Amino acid sequence: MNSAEDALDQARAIVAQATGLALDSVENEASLETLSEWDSIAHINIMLAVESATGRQMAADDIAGIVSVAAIAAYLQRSSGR
Amino acid sequence: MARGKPIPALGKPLFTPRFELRPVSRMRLFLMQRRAMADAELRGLFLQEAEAPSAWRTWRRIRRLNGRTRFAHAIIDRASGETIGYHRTGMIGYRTAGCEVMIFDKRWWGRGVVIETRKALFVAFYDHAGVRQFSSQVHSRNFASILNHRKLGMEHTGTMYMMKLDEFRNEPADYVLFSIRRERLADKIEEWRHELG
Repeated sequence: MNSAEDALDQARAIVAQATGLALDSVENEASLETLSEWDSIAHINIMLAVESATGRQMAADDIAGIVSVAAIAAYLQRSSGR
Repeated sequence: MARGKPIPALGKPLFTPRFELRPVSRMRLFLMQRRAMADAELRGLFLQEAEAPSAWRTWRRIRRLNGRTRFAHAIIDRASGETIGYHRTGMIGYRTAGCEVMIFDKRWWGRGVVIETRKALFVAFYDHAGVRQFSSQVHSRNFASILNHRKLGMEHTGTMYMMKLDEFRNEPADYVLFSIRRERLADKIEEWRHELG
């Protein structure tokens, strides 16, 4: 992951793919509170996509915090820095 | 709330737009749990045990439902009359209730059942049992359940590491803790009360 911007783009792509939304309609500020398409099935796909992107299983504390595009991006960045 | 006596209002069915929450007996809950735990996928999410528990073990795990500190409700689809899951609630501390939900009819997964039914249950327990905090614990790999807790406004308050061996994944299972309380709960209750009419 090169930058925060790359991480945000990747996070938006993951959310768009899982929710079936167009990439343009998933904003950087999107969260499970703002996107009605972010339901439980989409959430499972988001978590699995994040784990696939980082190549490692998420820790319990991280799992509980994945509630927005920004949180996914932060996790992706943290993971790439490990 | 009179001490030592069942709470009458919580002995009656609750209704949401799509579901009826019908109080059930220990035997009825036992039968629903037996049905659910016969399914390996559900067992993996809730018990992380490869073998279905025996009838005796399932029965023993269910403490007597007294309508005062321990409750169970069947979740019934109002359109079809079918039971699709159940919800258990138990008082676990001062004005605190712990809760657990199981949707064993998988056709209803991803359709907002847990959120809709919990809103009605939380309002009822807030109003009639004086509950000011709801807590629950979820297996960290149960992503759908974690999302439901967050959508209800519950906060991640801790993690219990290596609670048991997950026999399906052959690794220790962590549980995440969620709760909602005081002002945050009061705000949500008002919002849900308005929403549910």
